[in-house]
Amino acid sequence: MARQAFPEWTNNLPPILLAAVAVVVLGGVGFFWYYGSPKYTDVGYRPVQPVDFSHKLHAGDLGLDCRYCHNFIEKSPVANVPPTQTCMNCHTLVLPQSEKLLPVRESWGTGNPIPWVNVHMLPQYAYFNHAVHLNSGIGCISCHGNVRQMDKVQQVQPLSMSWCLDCHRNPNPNLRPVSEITNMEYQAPENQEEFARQFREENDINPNDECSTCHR
Amino acid sequence: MSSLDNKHNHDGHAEVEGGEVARVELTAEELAEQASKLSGKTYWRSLNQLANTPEYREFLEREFPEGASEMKDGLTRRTFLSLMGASIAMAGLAGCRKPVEKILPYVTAPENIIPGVPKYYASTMPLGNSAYGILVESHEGRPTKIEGNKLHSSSQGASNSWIQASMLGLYDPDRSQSVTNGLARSDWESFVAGWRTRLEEHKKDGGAGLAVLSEAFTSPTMARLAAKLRKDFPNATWVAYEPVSDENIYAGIELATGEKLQPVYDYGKAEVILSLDSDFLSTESEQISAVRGYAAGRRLESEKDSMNRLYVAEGAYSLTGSVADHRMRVRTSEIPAFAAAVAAELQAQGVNIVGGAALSGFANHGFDKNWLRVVASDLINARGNCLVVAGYRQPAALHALVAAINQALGANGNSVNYRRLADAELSNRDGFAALVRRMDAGEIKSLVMLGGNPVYNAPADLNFSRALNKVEYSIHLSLHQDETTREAEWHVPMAHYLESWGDARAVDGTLSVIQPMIEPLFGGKSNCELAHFIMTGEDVRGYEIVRETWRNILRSGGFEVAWQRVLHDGVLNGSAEGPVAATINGSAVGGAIGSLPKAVQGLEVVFQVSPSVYDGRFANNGWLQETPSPITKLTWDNPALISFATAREHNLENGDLIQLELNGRSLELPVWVVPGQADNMLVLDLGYGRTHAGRVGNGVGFDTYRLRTSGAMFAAGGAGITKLNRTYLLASAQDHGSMEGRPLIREATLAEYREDPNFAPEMVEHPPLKSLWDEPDYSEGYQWGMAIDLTTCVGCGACSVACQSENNIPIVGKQQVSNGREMHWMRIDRYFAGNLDEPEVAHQPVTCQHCENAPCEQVCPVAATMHDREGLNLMVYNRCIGTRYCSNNCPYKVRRFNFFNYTKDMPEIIQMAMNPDVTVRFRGVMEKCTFCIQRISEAKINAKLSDRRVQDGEVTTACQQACPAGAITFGDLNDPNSKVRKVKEQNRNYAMLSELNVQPRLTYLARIRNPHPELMRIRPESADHATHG
Amino acid sequence: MSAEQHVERHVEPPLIKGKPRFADVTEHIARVIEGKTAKTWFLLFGLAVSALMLLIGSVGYLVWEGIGIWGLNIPVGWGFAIVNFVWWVGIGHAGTLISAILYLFRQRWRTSINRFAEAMTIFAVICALLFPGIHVGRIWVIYWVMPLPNQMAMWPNFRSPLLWDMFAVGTYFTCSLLFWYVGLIPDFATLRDRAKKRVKKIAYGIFALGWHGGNRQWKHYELAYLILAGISTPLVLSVHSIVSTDFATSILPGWHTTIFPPYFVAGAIFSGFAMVMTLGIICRKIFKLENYITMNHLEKMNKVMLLTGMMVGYAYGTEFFTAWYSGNPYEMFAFANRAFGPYWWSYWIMIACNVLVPQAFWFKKARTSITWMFIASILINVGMWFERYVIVITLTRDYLPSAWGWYWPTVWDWMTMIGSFGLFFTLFLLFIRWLPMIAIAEIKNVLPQANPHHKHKGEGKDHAHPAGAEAKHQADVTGKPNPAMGGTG
Repeated sequence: MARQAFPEWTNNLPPILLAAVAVVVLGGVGFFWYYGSPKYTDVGYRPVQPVDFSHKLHAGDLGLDCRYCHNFIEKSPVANVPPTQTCMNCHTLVLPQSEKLLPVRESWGTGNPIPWVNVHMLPQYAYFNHAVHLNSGIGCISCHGNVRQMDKVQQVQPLSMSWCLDCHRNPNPNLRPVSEITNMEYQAPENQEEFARQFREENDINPNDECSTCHR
Repeated sequence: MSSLDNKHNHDGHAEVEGGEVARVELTAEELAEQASKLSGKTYWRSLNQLANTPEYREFLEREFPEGASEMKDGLTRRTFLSLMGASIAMAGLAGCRKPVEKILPYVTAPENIIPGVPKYYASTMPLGNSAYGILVESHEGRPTKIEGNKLHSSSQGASNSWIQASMLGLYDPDRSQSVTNGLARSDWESFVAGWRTRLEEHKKDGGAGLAVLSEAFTSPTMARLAAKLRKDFPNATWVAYEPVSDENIYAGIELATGEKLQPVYDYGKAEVILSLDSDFLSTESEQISAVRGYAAGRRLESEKDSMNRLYVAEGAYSLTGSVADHRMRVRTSEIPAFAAAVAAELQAQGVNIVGGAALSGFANHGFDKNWLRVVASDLINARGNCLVVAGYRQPAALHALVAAINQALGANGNSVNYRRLADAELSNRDGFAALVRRMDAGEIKSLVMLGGNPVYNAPADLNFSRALNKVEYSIHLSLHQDETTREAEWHVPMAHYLESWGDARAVDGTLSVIQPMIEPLFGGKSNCELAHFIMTGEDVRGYEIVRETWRNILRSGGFEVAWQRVLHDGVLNGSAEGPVAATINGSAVGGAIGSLPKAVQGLEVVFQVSPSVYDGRFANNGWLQETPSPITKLTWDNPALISFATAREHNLENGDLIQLELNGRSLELPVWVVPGQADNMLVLDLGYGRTHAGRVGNGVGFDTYRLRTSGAMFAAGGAGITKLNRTYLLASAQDHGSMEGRPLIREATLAEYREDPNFAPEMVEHPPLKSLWDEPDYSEGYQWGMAIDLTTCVGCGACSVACQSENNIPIVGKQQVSNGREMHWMRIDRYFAGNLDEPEVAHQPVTCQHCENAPCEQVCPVAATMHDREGLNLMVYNRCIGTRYCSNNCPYKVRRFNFFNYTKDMPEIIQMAMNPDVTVRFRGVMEKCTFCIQRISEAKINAKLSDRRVQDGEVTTACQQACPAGAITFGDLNDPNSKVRKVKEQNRNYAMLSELNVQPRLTYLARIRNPHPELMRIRPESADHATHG
Repeated sequence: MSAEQHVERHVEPPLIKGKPRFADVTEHIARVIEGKTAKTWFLLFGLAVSALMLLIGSVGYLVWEGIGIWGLNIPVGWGFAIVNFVWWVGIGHAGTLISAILYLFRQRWRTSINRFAEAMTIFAVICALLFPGIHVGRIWVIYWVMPLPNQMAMWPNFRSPLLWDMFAVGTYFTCSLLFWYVGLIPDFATLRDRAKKRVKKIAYGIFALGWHGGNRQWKHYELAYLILAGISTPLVLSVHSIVSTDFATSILPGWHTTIFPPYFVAGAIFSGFAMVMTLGIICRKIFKLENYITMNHLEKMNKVMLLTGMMVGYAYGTEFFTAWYSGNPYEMFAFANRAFGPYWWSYWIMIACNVLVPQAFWFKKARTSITWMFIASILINVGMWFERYVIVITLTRDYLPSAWGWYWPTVWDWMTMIGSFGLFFTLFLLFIRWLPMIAIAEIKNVLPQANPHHKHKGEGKDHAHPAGAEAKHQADVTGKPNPAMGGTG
């Protein structure tokens, strides 16, 4: 018909449009699902530190225990970053002239702290207590990854609320003897479930998923 | 000062746990710089995270411009207030990804500080001649919370609003930050140089032209220095002045006994108490121990127990009057005559009062004879275990008579004891007046003002500022650059008591130390440091000065050990002194009775300290300004209080402005009607209308000192009022005063209670209650619950301020309060009952009731308020989207909403007052009482770490800890031996609005009054609300 | 003369006056759109848009500064925002009622008013949806009320009436929109075919979805329309019932009452009709559509208003009775306080407007007086707004006298409210300018000519023909091809 305002092909438009819309919607969901999740946004965060300190070297090759520097983790809610003093304990003798250690010596001299950059950040309204987790047999590695193999420390877990809840709802896979908490090479026993059950009974470990557990 | 160069000088502090020696003292630079480092978002986990920032000075300039400007009301005003309200913006809510967050560890780890674990140190808060022992919670050297020290007789582990709020005072950014000379910024060194030359002059003539004007104190060190001055400079003058003090009381007792004695009341021992215009539960000195004792004498465990009885005769409606079993309205200036009438009646009933012969003239009077007869007989029946007290407002002669009465009733040595005054400099009005006259005459060359603010609060007729301007060289030591600073030549910033070394002696003689929690933030000097410098010219640290004093006190045994002990305990054990046998001199008393002043004529004006800002020294403290006055519930103001009848007579209503004329002086201020106040009398709170208090206190309320003359310091007659046809906005925290016959506060007389012990729970009848949802099982684990005893609660409001301090609650300002947006998690409801002329008052602390069937939880669309298995009603701020539906559906209306970002633009320095264990709330979220969940978590974690259950009493909520009456109990309801469980098992226990089946975890113990059977009045309304169903 | 017989056969007066031919119908309605834009339109549009600016401004400031700029406080956590929300949702109801329920009941008189009633519904619901959106404290996380997957592993609280609201109103909006659009398709086609300019042709054409009025299209169309009507019908009842649960499920005295759902629905229809009336009267005057929106229609609507007004009045009475009968002191106080408390005036305004005003419609004189019904319709809308105000104000005095408060709106409250009217009228004016405010095709259905019997008497054809067929027939009779019929057949 001459009066028709639209050419023939427009008849196919509706299905095409429909398909397009579907693609866009699903695509959008997928996009946010992946790029919006802390797994993408937070994991792998590896800021440049003022001192080129290698956990791999100290904790790995030299085999220092985590608690040599982070000495209050079992007593305090916060895992303390060591004072410059701790570095100087060794580095007055070891590599006293090293270029890399300049900021440390400077701090020691001036008395101004070294401005380390925080890697594992929790929001202010989430209250995480190191002491109670460690004493309940949750190893460092569960949250911080195998730091012994990291030259520069980076975030390996999303530290998202759902991630916390996963463990709070079923901590069994992550439990280990309290003596092993800093051991990065610890191998879970065959009967982990069995061990966990027993371990929880003995130490009365029943984490819960109440809001009040973390939010005050 | 020494600690500037070495970061951690071991000044020999000791902390409470274990009492190890040595702790870090952080330097002013460190702290303030660290503060300036803070961004609104990040909060430091360890104080030293903040170190290492440039230009402290510049920061101060930027943050607190000189002479902080006053600002208009509205948003700007509110912003500034929020700044004083102390809290920080909450990170996550700002919601931007990965703010780079710095960790700044210690350079050298201080001994025995574990980052993230708070420590407690003992100290003392001096206030006038009183001293309150305190424990200060400190996070990495940053004091954040004050509690009472159990070992100290004047606080006994409890506290009051002034103590609680002094924490905010420490971080007040309006505090003076530099020495000034003629208001121009100067420095300590030039001041030192200047004074040393003058000192030589004064040494020549024995200090003839030298005068020291201090605040009243009871401190060994200050006393030693005062003595030293008098010795080294025989011609110099040292006078203490307080606008409000117990001067009359001391004078009266001296008059009666001929000795300088300190009265020590033990209200716990008194079965019958008669208060003559004494607000001993609130605004008199030593109110903490008073409330403790009063409550002890009143606490009931069952209907079989007995309780004390309180008679109050007063003009203003005081907190004490509001909890009295019988209250008699007597104009303040009529009290002496009334007291004499009581004495006469006692004599008539056979009590022999020494010097009582002079009473005959008072036998016939216009007061309610029956009332007097009953009171007298009641006192006599309780002979030995009774107590008569009179207020600081009353003249010395009356106090002499009261001393005689107490002795006659055998109270001496039991409910009242006398101790020889030591180490005390009492306020001396006449001495002060004399000094001012000499200043006026130009005889004073140098005037050293150690604290105080005489330009503002000296009697108006003395015209202090004119006199001050005639002094050629004046020095003013003060926390703020206040009204007096403006007129003085030199100003030295004063160190807050939490920053300085000092000592004090409590009323019972107990010695305690004041030890700094932190180095002076703004480099101030303590009064002993300046006093010492003034008379020696040597700049010595307070630490040395105080230790020197204590070397003489701690003679026995090794000084250092004993000293550490004192620092650890905060008090010197066993330093309380025994009573002295006071002998009342008959003729003196007789003379006193003869000289009892007559009641003033015409409209009477009465001055009293404000329950909020005291005499004005706390005017720049937002927490106190916003604390509702116990009876009026007003915030941020001091209208003239007027009785209902008198108001009607002048046809005045709340908020009407009047022109008040008092012997030649006049003041324009609004009125507020207080039912139950004596007629023909206006009551004015002191301490408002400051012009240079700081950004918070400036221009708040009306300066009533302008009407106050040395002739009539407390009560003046012949006032005239003219109604101006304008009104003034007054912000009351409670608009409606009647309980509308609802069974909210359930009360009965002791007799009724004995008749029907279960009256309280049975007061409301309702059909069987059934919940729509299946109810969770609370039989396992900890189940937290609270009980509040309305019989012992006096409604002082210490709990409310303690809560504010513990939970980072912002203040919102007058405008917002008048809009009904105050943020207090704990409020004290005040209801009037009975007729408008002589109503009774009931107080009820109300906070989140933690309902097991919480209506708020069901309606929140995002599940931001939930219940946990320990029965706590949780509020998860970071999940809240702010529909306010929960608040609408809360029958108790205890939820608070952040209508604005009340913490916006807050200088970082204030953030140091924040409790790091409590999230600071952002704009648009709901908040409410959490039963101090941070304390619960801490206790649970500690228990877990040491592998045990939380013990009863291990968790104390902030309100409970502060409460001097011990009216609040908290604990685990599943523990059959817990105190709270026991309390809740009492038959007075009831849940407010239980008929709604909300099942609150906070229950009340019904209020029991103990009226004398012969004075029982029919109380229609209260009777109504006592039987309503 | 055929017309007379027509009249004889029908007791009802003709639904459409002036005996227009199909062509005339199209002409009369379409000319409103095609003709030159009236000065008045520009004037009104200017007003509406400036009000809309007010809305944008005040909401902007709200988001910037916080909810505190409103008069809210504790205890009054809800104020104008919720009042307006409920009121606007209520307004919407008439549209759906008219288009869906009356359609199912074969109330053929609805055809003259259903189009713009539906439009009104949609615009009202848009205004309504605005308020719950902006009244929250943290608007930037409002999506948390939706059950979306998230890293918090959190669901919304399905017990909360606010959540039900979101679903209810959302559904309602979607269905109304579809329903309205489907109804518009044939008219889009008409406009497309009448359009002179190519742009218009294409614009209308897109929405016409290639409609050419063939019988199969008509068949599907009628079916779709019927189904949508079926779906919309329960919504009329459900939406406001659920909105009422915002109050009814609470424990507040004066809110916690089972009468709310029916009473809200009645009220909603009441206010909805009032709004239709207001708009209808104006439109028919300005665009000379007296023949299409006849006195007959108006009178019928007045009767509906009388009825619903009585229902509402009854509800008010019942509330008081229940409060008294419950013996619950808090309930009793709440209602006594409504009528005699500090906000007594709002209560009596409500009674006067909602209960007394409609009583006039007992009299035909009032029912048929344009002036009176116009005034009445406005008063009723005011009254219904106050009904919600009274409910919200109940918050000022609940259980604990110590917590009693006041509520006074601020200038921002007012600006937001006026602004919402701006939004509404902006949309509505655009609608009457670009779309046929009366359903052209449907009107033809109710014309006498559309009735198979009115020409071919005696031939026992009982089933109604599609209007299209009739129209063709008509076209033949009148001889000249009617452009208007082009698409619609």
